[in-house]
Amino acid sequence: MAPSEQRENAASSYTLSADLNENFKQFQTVFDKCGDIQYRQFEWNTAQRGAFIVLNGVGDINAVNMDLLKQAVESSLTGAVQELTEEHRAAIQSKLSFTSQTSWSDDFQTSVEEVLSGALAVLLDGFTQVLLLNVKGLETRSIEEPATEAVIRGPRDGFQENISTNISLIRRRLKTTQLKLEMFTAGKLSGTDIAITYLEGIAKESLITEVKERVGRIQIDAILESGYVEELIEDHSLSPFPQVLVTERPDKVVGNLLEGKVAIIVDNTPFVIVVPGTFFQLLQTPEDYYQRYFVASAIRILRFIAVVSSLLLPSLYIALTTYHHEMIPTMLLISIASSRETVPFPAFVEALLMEVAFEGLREAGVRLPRPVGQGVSIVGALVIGQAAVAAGIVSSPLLIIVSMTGIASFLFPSFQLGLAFRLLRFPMMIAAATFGLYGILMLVLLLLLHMLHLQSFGVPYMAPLSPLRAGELKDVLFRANWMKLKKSPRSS
Amino acid sequence: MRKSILLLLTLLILILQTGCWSRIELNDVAIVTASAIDLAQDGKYKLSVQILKMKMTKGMSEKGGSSEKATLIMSARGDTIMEAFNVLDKKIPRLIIFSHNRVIIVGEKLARAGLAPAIDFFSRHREARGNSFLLTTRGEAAELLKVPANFEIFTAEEMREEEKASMLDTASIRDFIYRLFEKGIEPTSSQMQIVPMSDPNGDPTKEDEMGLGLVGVGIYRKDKLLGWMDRPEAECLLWLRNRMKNAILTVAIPGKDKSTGRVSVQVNGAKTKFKSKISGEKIQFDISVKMTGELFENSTKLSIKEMNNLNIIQQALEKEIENRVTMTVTKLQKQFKSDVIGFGNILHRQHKNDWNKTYVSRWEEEFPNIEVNTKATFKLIGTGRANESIVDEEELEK
Repeated sequence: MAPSEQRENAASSYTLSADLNENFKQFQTVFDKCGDIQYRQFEWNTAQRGAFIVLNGVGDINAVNMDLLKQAVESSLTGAVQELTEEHRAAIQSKLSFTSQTSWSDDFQTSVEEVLSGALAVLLDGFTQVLLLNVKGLETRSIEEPATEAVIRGPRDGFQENISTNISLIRRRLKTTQLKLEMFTAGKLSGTDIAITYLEGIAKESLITEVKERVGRIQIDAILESGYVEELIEDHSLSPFPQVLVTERPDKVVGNLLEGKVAIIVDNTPFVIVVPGTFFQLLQTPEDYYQRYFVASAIRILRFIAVVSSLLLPSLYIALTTYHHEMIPTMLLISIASSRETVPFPAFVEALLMEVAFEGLREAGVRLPRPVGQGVSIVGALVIGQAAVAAGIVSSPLLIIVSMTGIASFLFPSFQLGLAFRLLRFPMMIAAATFGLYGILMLVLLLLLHMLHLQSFGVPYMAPLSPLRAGELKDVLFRANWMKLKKSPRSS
Repeated sequence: MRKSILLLLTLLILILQTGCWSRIELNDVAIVTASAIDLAQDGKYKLSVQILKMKMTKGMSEKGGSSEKATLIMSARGDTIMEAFNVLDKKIPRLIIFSHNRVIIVGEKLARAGLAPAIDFFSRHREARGNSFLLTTRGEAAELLKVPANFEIFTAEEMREEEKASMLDTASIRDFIYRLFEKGIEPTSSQMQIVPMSDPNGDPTKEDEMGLGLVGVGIYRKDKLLGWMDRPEAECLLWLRNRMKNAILTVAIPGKDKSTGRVSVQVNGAKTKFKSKISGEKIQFDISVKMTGELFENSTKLSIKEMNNLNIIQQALEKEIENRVTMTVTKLQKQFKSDVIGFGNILHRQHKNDWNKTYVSRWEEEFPNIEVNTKATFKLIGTGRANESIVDEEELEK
């Protein structure tokens, strides 16, 4: 039997009794070999005893606090109390509710779970109920600028690992009771908190129910990152395209909530999921809305060009140089051909080599510790750049193509979408090498078909381009003036 | 599931069975940049092609000049162009591609005998481009390919650049064939010769650098070359066909005290309109040429400040234009009897019924007899930076 099941069994089979010793022993069994558990036993005036149980580090309480707590409990319980009455409860709660959130629980299992997530349990002799004080206090990082989504203009705060901090970051941008937060817990062992947040009246009711249902269905041992949730709730897990928006930026989440989307905040990760995700939404940054709209529109157009070129540039190069020489302007053809003259590989192999080398370098740059990373980039620049061309292993036009593709793939605001296109570039190159432009066309058509077929929580992936909603295009291909965008559009 | 996998596999097999059927790496092709066709002594076609040597072109661009030539010239003879081409293809280890053939030069002998059979290959072969320029030359066409390039890497590019920049009536293969098919207009082609760089009209001496120059236009009837028109007349053809890009006009204007000065203008806009009239047997064309231009040089004593002086210049220019048009049209009518301007075309448009009924079949006989009246208007729209004539001022100081 797995330890988790054992623990669960013990917990579920036990019901709280009026005997403190009994209860205390049960807690000790359940928390056996848990080094971070803290027990404090005490006596109160009539020689009756009590106990505090708290997890170190998860519940934040020190000796002074504990003493004060003890006194507060004592002062509210005078004389020998065998039966807990409403009176006592009210007395204790009124003493303590000022300092923290309190609740009474008569279920052993809930008490254990609460202790695990940072509550202080107070056991009192003669009581069949456990007093739970929320003293949650986790060590967290301070709020920093998100590393993956930097902006020139815009707020610099980013989400961090603590869910309540993250929620507060959203809340302070939406001071309305319409902002709803519904808490879930998922993960048998991790017991991860998940908050589903939306704007009531703006998000569609059906969408909210659907998200809640899917999140509620999650059956997994542990959730360490929102990526788990993403994969468990997305519509098409066989697609290379990300179907949810993942962001570290509170302003981006709020912007999407205002458009009627639903955000899923997972504890212990700064990455918040926004559903439904659409293709064009993944190509937008919050900065599009902060910069002047002419500039923002121009940058969006640049981004569309980048999307196309990151997918097609190497394959177009292969197709044109091996099948369609007549399509290259003569002078360009001559300079390409003359630099290819000494290259021993076919164009496809040449391109594949360089693309793989480039992807490898990029991956190395992410993984390596910073001081070593610089070394890699120098070696990479030398190997990829100069030496390969000087040795005549690759041609310089191809190098230009590879670097342009590289730059284009850095332009994606969504790293996940960028990854998808990085991956798709390779089948595209194979298609180009076997069928030329015809192959590229076929694969692009297939890809388009796939993208048009995708849906995320009932919303077509390519919306609002397909199905066409002309009115919303003013915020897709370019960004219209705020005068024209005043009202938040309703997604789906 | 099983069915779909089977379907996928079948598709994959179908795709992979075909292979990469027309894949050619750039290192395996020989790019033809220009071709020349001549009529050989034995009546066969002689096809010469200029092929780029790729490793040489690299040297050219990097080191800025190499002793070896960047191009290779090959010739072969055959009963058809395709046959000659086949001979060429077997001579070298690479596949010859025609898709970047920029110019096609035809020797005079072949042009006079009839171009149609020779250029059929270029209109039919799928690699050949319709926008390759068609050039004719006096003498052997193959000789032109041997001229070293002065500015570009290879001669073909120079020829093409010259064609593009030229002020003559140029024709691509496609143009030529269109005009061949169309009733009421005859084709032309540019004439390119090897000329000494110092003086295109003078006799070449040994020291002279030789270059290629467009010297005129070949006039055809159907596909047969009749003769040449030199530069001034060829320019005039452009005006009449409304194709003018820019031109320089120079006129002499007699001054008061017998001193003749000259005025040069750059023409930057021209519009030619034709009006046709049929009265009985007689066909009459009224041509109105409207030009605008800028004064660029003035060696007369006329001050530009005076409106009257401007009028004198404009009238002189108009007269010059009228003379040149009349001269060109007369030459076409009397000497060549070939309607390269397309008077027949205009008549077709303006008098559709008459054309279809009577003239379409006998336009060749009718063309020399049509009456052409020219009216030109010239408008100066700029006079450059100077107002006063410098010549005039100097005179005054004396």
